[in-house]
This record gives sequence, structure tokens and C-alpha cells, in this order.
Amino acid sequence: MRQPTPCLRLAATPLLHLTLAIGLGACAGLDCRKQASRPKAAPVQITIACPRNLSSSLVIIAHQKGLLAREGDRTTLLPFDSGKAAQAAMLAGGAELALVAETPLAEAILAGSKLKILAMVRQSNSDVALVARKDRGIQAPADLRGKTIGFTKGTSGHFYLDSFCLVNRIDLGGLRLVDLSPPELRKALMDGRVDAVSTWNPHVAFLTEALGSSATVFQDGLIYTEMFCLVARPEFIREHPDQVQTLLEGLCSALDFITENPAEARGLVAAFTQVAPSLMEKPFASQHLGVWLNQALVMSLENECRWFLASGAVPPRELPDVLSYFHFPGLQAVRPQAVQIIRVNQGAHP
Amino acid sequence: MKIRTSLRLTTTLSVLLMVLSMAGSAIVFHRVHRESDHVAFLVDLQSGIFDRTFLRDEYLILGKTAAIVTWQAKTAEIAQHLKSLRLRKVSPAEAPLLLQMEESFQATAQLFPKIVALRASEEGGEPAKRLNRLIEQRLTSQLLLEAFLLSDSTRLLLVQAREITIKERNRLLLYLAASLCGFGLAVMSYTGYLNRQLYRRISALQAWTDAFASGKFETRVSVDGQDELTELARQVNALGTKLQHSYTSLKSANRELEAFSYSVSHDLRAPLRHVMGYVELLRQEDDSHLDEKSRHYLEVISSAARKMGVLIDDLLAFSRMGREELMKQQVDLGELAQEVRAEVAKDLPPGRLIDWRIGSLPAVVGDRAMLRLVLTNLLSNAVKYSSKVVAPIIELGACPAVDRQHVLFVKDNGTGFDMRFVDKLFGLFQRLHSSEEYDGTGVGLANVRRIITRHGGTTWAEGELNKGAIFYFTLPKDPEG
Repeated sequence: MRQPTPCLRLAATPLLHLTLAIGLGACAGLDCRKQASRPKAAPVQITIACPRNLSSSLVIIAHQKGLLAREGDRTTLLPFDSGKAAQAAMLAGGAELALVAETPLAEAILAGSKLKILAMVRQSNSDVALVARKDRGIQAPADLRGKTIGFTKGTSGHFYLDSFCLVNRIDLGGLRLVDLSPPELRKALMDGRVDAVSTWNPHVAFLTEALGSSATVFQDGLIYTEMFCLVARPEFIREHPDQVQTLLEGLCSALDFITENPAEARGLVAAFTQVAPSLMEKPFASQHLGVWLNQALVMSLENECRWFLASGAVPPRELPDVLSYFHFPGLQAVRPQAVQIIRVNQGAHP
Repeated sequence: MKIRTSLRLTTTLSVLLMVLSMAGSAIVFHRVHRESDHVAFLVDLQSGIFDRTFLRDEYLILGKTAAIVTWQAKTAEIAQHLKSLRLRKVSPAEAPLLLQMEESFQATAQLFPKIVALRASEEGGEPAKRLNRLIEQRLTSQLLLEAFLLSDSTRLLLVQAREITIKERNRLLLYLAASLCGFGLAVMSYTGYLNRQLYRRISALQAWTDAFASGKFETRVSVDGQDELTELARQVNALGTKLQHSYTSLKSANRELEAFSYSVSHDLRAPLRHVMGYVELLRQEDDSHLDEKSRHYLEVISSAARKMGVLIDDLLAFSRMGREELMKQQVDLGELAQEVRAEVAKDLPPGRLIDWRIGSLPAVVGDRAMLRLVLTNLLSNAVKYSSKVVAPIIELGACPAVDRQHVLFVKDNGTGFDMRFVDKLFGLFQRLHSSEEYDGTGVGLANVRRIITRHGGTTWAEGELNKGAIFYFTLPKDPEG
């Protein structure tokens, strides 16, 4: 029998080819997935010491949403009154990681403490302020002269106080400075033991609300940028590089969560810090959350190291190589565009 | 569904898919364009920020006061850029970066004039100047920090915008690829389905034609579906039924005709023998009582009876040609032609010379005896009709094959014929010349046609009066095909 034109039969062959290609692709995909699966490591307990304030926002949200730990691992947030206290707890072995502002961090670097900076997670120009009592005659910066001012030594409140007084030409020697813990600062200003305090949120917001019209707030966004960092003990980074990467990935995911669910994110932070939502709404919105390792942090740490050395608060020594305290591989693996170091010191590796 | 409806549906589906693909592509292309525009805007902004930093450093490092005015102009320009950036629809992911940019820009815009003012200040003695330097240092550090943050947030915004552009571009490519694949798949599946349907139907029709060609006239095409091919199958089946009836009737009539011609020719022989016998008896008798006229009549009766005998023999032979089974075998036509030529030449009158031109002839499959008769008839005809030519030329050759058929011819330069009567040439007892001019019964060419037709070939002729004639016949190259 004569055969009909073979082109009719050929029309069906592309379909066959496509099906084969999809099939092979699917098989290859399955094979890749098989190869990608890795054996499970032993569970790790990770404790993060963090201040009970907005500086911990990103870590709190990531922790609450279960983004910080791999399957099987466990993270615990250990709250402290300040980042400085959190850092001290970590250095004492009470935690693997800590959240701390650049001022206590600079002091720790000058002291040669064993820590590594994994990432900067927050920066703000409006978190730290001087809150003064009007009833003590303080209405303008110059009125601070001769007054009793509370602060927490070696914290961002301390550096802010110094900068504020410097640019307003107020001699620190002419003030009576009282070193107090953050909760004590609040009490001291409220009961009038001090005329003003240099502190951060939520204390600034609390005191402003509590004093009402009697409060004078000196908040100068031009003179200081507070930078909160996630630091870790070097041995933790060495022993658990995968967990470090998971932590940083979790923080990046938390950023996306905040963008998509700002109200829920605020609620999670309020619950952890036990701050009234009304007090944290404005500071929460004005802070910059992120996951970076950049030149601004290097500059800030170097500036404050110089300040510590110049003030005589620490024993004299050469300016340390702050870059050697940075741990780059973690963030470079997770978000390379967030690593931006312009000047590299010899021996450092961004 | 009708094939026409299916094809219309395919066209409509194709157009619809194309329109959808184009609309989707246009949307994604617009997005890509918007993002590219956004990237270009940010690059422009970044360049402005760099220029401003250069001007700042020119003042801070080299003390060039002329740089301050340009710095201010640049600051105003960047402020305008940031304002229009804010007016653009920024994504939720871009919003924090834009906020950072605005804050850092504001900080630098306020810090630099403060530093300029501090440097310009001549008030106070050395302690005041030392204090000024300290403040300047602190503010400069902050200025550098904010400048970095401005630059870095612009960079990150740019990175993000580029990522979005790439993502949009990839989405466009993916969309195009997906629509193309989807479009192709849909059309391919549908045309594949149509092809399968058509293939099945056309195969059935082809099977029918094959069956018919091999004489299986009872074959019918299956009638299913509701399309044009179904209608065609019905018509084909109706045609088949008609053809079958016609064939059966024709076969029956032919059989009757064969039987009739055989019995007529056979039954005519007996009375003819009687006529010829009695004429012969009359001749052998003492013919003294017969006058000259009577003897002439006897001669005419005898001659007519002989002629009739020849006609009856030819008719019988013609009839046999139709009935006898073909004994097919490989036949070398070249060799056969030489044999026939020699035989025909043997009967030539002495002194008559013919220029024989026998070309290369193919080998065919056929009944050797019948093919021999074909060549004998054609060559004898050529000899006969070129008998009045002084230098007769008879040519036997082959033309290039056409449609899997060998084409052969016998050509002479004899009397030829008038092409107006060409249709009569191969008819039984049809003659274009009188028997007085050229003897014969008009059965030879009819036999040629019958034999060639039974071999699956065809015959035809061309000629011109007094110039010659060409008789063509074809034979299949592959008689089984």
C-alpha cells in the first residue's frame, strides 16, 4: 500500500522532543536536589544578649518569626538594660552573640576583647538625646552649664553628651556628671536627683512623656549617628559558620518581613521590650534597620576609639585596626552588596 | 467538528494567544523601560553626589572657597533630584533607602555650612580657635560619615533598581519564552490532533484507491466523524458502488462479446469451407459448358471466400489476444527486435533494401510471444507502408522513460497518414488505405493496442502523409508496482 506524505507524521515529533526535554530536565532537577541535601549537624543552642530596646528590633523579629536558627537549633534572646551590658555578658561567656552600639564596641576593641562584628543591624540619628528638666532652668543648651547630668559611662549616651557639649561649646568640666545605669537614669531625672540625662529610647520617649511640658529635649541629629552591631565570640564563628550564615539570612528575611508587615513587626518588638506602643511608634519609624558592614561603621569606630583615647577613659595605646574585628565571609555570602568597605587596612580582608 | 471549523478555531486561537502574548510583553516591556529609566535617574543622582563630594573636598583639603558656591548649586540640584525621586512611586523595599538618602543629604547639607562658618570664624583667642578646631573635627567626621551613608544608600538603591531591571528583563524573556512555548504547544497539540485525524482519514482513502487499483471494487471506506472527509468518504463509497456495477456489467458484456465473436468466427468457417469446396468442385468439373463470364464469377467467389477466411482467422486471433493468459517473463526487447527484423527481412522481395536502425532497447517483463507479435505487426506495417519509397528507413528505438514507463517507437519514412484520422488507426478492421493499394485486414494495430494495454502500457501514433509515421507504445518499468 502506498504511504501518505510523511510530513503529517513528522508534525507530532516536536511534541515528543519537548516531552523528552521536560522529562530529562525534571530528572536532572531531582538529581540536583538529591546532591544538595547534606547530613544534619548536631543541634546548637544560640544565646543572643541584647538590649531591651528598639535597637534589637531586627533580632527580635527574626527570633520571633523563627528565622534565626536552622532546623533543630535553638535561639534564646537574653535581655539587658543596655548594649554595653549585653556585650559584657557575651564576653563573660553568658551568650554567643550580643547586640551593642558602636561606643561600647569601640571601648571593647580598645581593650582588646575577643569578638567579631558580624553585621551592623541598625543606625539612627535620633535615638539618643539629652532630656532636661525645665523646672531646673534648662531651656537652651547653654543652660546646661553647671548642672548635674546623668549618663551611662561608655555608652552612646556618653558620646552624645560629649559631642553635644562640644558643638554647643559647653565645657564638660563645668558640669557635674553622674554615671548611672539606664533604669537609674530614668528614676534620677524623675525624682530630681539630676537636672538632665543623656540616654536613648525608649527612655527618652518615656521621660518626655512623663515630664510633659517640664521636659526639654536636646536631640541633634547632626552630631551623632548611633550604630548597633551584632557581635559574636570568635570561637562561635569558627565552630558554627553555617549557623552564622543562617543568622544573617534570618536578619535579611526579617527586613523583608518588616517591609511587608510593619504593624505586626512593631507589635513583636513592643511585646519583647515591654514598651508601650505609643512610645515606640515614632522611634521605630525613624530608625534605619538593615544588615550592613560598611565604611561608616569603620569611621565611627575609629572616631570613637580616638575619642576614648583622647578622653583618657582607656589606657593610652595606638589606634587599633578596627577592620580586623570585622567578620566578612558571613555577610558576603548572604548579601554581598551590603559589604562596602572603601579603605582596607593591611591584613584586613573585606 | 468540520475541518473548516477546526482550522478557523486554530486561527482564532493563534490570534488570541498572539494578542495575549503581545499584551503581556507590552506590559512587562513597559516595566523594564520604567526600571531602566529609574536606573538612569539614579546614575545621574549618584554622579551629582560624587561631584558635590569633590567640591566639598576641594574646600576642606585645599581651602578653595570658590568651591562653596558650586557646592551649594549642586546641593540644590540634588535636593531637586531627591524631591522628584520621592514623587516617583517607590517600592516598599526602596522606601527605607530613600529615607536614609534624604536624612543623610539633609545632614550633609547642614553640616558643611557649619564647618565653613567655623573656619571663617576669626573670633576669640587661641583657646577659642582650638575649640573651633575640635568642633570642626567632630563635625567633619560626622559629615564624612553622613556623606558615606548618602553615597552608600544611593549605591544600594541603584543595586536594587538594577536587580529589579534585570528581574523585569528576565521576566520579559521568561514571559516571551513561556508564551512562545505555550503558543507553540497549543498550536502543535491542536495541529498534531488535526494531523492525526487527517492522516487516518487520508490513509483510509488511499487504501481505498489502492484496493480499487488492484481490482478490489467491493472495498469501501469507513464512514465516521462529521467533517468534510466523512462526506468525501460517502461520495467515494457511492462512486465505488457505481464503478463496481459498471465494471460488473462491462465485464459481463465483454465476456458475451468475446464469446459472440469467437462463435461467429468459428461458426462462419464451416459454411465458408462449403462455399470454397463447391467452387473448387466446379473448377475441377469439365468447365467446357461454362462460359468465360461464369468462370470469372467463380474466380471472384473463390477470392472473396479466401479473403473472408483471412478475416475470420484474424478475428479469431484478435479474440484470443483478449482471452489468453499473459505468460510474463523477462524479455530483452533488443534481442527480440533483432529476431523479428530478421524474420520480416526474410519475406522482402529480392533487391529491396531497407535501412534498419535499431537502437538500444530495454529489457521488460511481459509475454514474449505477444510482445513478439507487437514488434512483428509494427515492423511489418513499416515495411508495407514504405514499400513505395526508394530508400526506406525503419527505426526502432526507445525514448527517455516517463512516469515509470518505457517509451518505445517504430518510425518509418513511408506513406504516413493524415493525422485527422489518427483515432481510427488502432480500431479493429479500420484501414486508412484501400486493400488494392496496401493489402491487409486492419487487425494488426488493433492487436498491438490490445497486447500493450494488457501489459499496462499505452499506444499512440503520429504521422504525415507521404512523409512517414511513428508508432509509440509504452511498457511499465516495474509491472508489479
